[in-house]
Parts: sequence; structure tokens; C-alpha cells
Amino acid sequence: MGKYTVLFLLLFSRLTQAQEMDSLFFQESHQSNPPALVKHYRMPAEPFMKTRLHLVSDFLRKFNDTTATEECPWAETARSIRLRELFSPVSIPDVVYRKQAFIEAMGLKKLLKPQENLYAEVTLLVSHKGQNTRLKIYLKKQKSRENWSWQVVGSEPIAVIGNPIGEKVDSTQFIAPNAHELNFMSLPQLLQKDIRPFIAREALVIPEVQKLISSVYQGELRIIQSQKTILYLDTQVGWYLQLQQFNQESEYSGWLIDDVYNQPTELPVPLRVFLQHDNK
Amino acid sequence: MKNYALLLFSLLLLPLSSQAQKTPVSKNLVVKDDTLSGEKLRDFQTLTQQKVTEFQQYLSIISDPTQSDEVRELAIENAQLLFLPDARMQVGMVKKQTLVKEYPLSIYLRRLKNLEKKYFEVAITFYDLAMVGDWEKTQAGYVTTATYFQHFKGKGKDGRIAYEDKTIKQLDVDLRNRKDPFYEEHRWTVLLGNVRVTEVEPKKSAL
Repeated sequence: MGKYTVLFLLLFSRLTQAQEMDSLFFQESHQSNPPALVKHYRMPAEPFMKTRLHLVSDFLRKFNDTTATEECPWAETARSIRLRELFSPVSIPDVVYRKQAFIEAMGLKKLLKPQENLYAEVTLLVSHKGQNTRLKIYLKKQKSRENWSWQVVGSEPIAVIGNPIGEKVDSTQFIAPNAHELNFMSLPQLLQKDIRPFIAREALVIPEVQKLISSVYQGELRIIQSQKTILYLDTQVGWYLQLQQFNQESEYSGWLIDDVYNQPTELPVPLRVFLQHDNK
Repeated sequence: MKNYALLLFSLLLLPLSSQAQKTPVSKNLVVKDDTLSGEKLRDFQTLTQQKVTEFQQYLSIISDPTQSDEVRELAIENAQLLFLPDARMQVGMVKKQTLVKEYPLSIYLRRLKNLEKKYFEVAITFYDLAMVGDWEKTQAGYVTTATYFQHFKGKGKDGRIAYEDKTIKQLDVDLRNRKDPFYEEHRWTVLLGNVRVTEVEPKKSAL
């Protein structure tokens, strides 16, 4: 057994141990006696639970609120305070500078169709040719007639020589529009079952997406779990917002702005590639 | 004459009654049975809140060793009726570990029943807050997300806290016109779906 195999096994056993350290699955070494008591309580909500931006719709509501507050009757100043509260506490000088520029540029402007300009980067745990690795895929929130869903629009490159993609499309399957709130928890099962129905039509010409589809069909890529979600919101006024969920007992938590860009070139490459195809 | 008066009276009432029901219609005045009015959707939001609270009550019963085995088994059965058949529950996400594990809901509830074998003393706190987001239309009906919080404390034999966490539970909620197994007809029903679990980091001290 090689040095790296031993290291891997040690790391794996530590990780699986940590997994079981969940509230319901804690492995206690001496677990013979039943508990003396299981107490249940019902308490009023804590302040952070009420102010947390639980859902992206909460974030957008606050973002688009341009009314003045009692403490600050001037609409622009009130808006600027509210926008600052939407940022995660970052102190990296570049981000602080971009944040200031963004707040000044926004003024009292609102997001007109924010749901239609929402993109997601999902980090998946995958098994590629039997080796566990991570793969980032990109999705766009789409509206077809009155119905909403997420569709795959891009992928990191996979070193697989692909076959032509399948023709069969099952229109009854879709990635639910609230999937981002659950960290795209159902995505691996859906993509593994049949990836083709979840690919946006405009993305089918992108080589990386074709390779993603063919490698799933050929069984070379097995999608295990979705691990992390980052959202990108195109404000349509020259700025892109990067959103992430922050979970702490703080007045400002939930979906918050992690970074802002005023150049599409700063977006992840697969998203830029899709936007170029989409605009043609 | 009396019949004519009745007919006229009914015709006069007709626009009022149809307005009260607010049946969604398209621009071409075609009734759309795959959509619900705003009023109905708000009712289903309230119903979802009630279902989340009901689920929390079942969790309390299932994990309570002072309840009889029959009552706890019945609570497991009833809790599952609130959910889609293939619903899964996440566990893990503990102490900055990014790995999570998912269990089918039925297995999660069974393991919850065995909680008494893991700890010497347990305290579970639920909060008076079940947030339900706005419904979003899909090709199958509507979806939204519900959120609730839970604080867990498990003590060992020595009385020390062996494990503690505060978690955010986010539930997928599925509203669609499905066949009701009891009434044998299609009706709009809300079912809960997958549950995501995220741990809340304690507030950092200012010092």
C-alpha cells in the first residue's frame, strides 16, 4: 500500500467520522443507558432569524426597496445604506473599492427582471473514469411561457472525446426554479438519470457542454453530489453581482453579495461563453 | 312568473359569484386549470406553514421515549404523508465540514426514533417561525421553499454537552393538481419535499 493510499484512507476515515458527528447520528462510545429525558421547547424566533435574507426573493425585495427610512429621510442615502447591508462583511481592498463604485453607480436604479438574469455556478462532486473529482457547471434561470426552471448552460471542460448527443427530450422533467435555495440538492439524481432535457437549447452548440452530456451518457462521468452554489445576477445596468449564502447569528445573513464586477470578462469562462452564444 | 324572477335574480348574481371565486382565465377567456389565483396561492402558503409546524410536532413525538411505541410509529407514518414519496433529508454539514449525507426521509425518521440510544439527555428547541417563500410557476404546478430553525443539545452521562448545533432547515414545497388517493379525484395539494440542512455559525465575539 503506497504512502498516498494510506494518507487518503486516513483522511477519508476522518471525514466520514465528521459526517456522523451530526446531531442525530452522534456516535457516543458508551451508549448503553437510555436518556434520562428528551426535552422539547418552543421559543420565539431570535432576531437574526427574522432579519436573515432566507431566499433570493428576500434579497431582491430589499435590493429594489428605494423608499426612504425614518432614520434617513433622503431616498438616495437610505438606498445606499440598504445596499451596503446586502454585502457580506469583506475587507479585501479591491472588493471594497468595487462595492463603493457599484453603490454610487446604482443610485436609485432598480432591477427590472432580476429572475430572468440569474445564473448559478454549482460545484458537483463527480466520479470521472472512476476517480472522484469536482466539476463546476453553470445554469440559467429560464422562463418558458409562464413556467420557470433552471437549465444547464455551461460546464468546465472535461477531457472526454464525446459522441453525438442523444435526441430524446423529456419535457416533463425540469430543474425546479427554487433549486438554488436547496443547494441544487436534486440535481445529481436528475442529471444522472437523463442529462439531455436539462440543457438549454442555446448551450447545445458549446463543446464543453457536448462533452459533459456524452461523458454522462457513456458512463465515464458519474455525478455524486452538489456541494456549493454561487449565484450571478446581471443587473442589466453594467454590473454583475456574485451572491452566496452566509449562515451566522448576525443581523445580516442569508443571501448576500460576495463581490461585484462591472466587466463581463470577470465572470467564469463557461458563463461568458454562454452569454456570447446567447447574444448571437 | 316566479321562475323568471328567480332566473333573473340568478343572472344578476352570476357575475358576483364568478368574481368571488376568481377562477384564472387567459386573455382569450379560456379557463386555465393549471394556474391558481393569488388568493388561493396565499391560502396554500398558510397551509404550508401549518404543515411545517405539524412536521415539527411529529419530530417531537418520534424522538420522545416517554411516548408509547405505537404512538411514535404512527407519528412516523403521518410525518411521511406530509412529504413526496422520494423526499430526502440532509444530515451533516457539521463544524465547517462541507460533506453532507442524505437519507430517504423514512430512514431519517427511524434513526430519529433511536436518538435515545445515542445521548443521555437531549433538548430540542423549535422556534415560532416557519417562513414560506412566494410560489413560482412550473410546468407541473408551483414550487416554493419553507424555512425553519432547530437548536439541538445532546448531553453525555457526565452531564456535559456532547453535541450542540443550531441548524436552518430548508424544505422544498410542491403544489400541484394531483390525484387524491382518498377522494379519487384531482385536487390541488401541497406536499413537502427534500430537506436541506445548514448549520448556523454562532455570532463572533467582538473581542
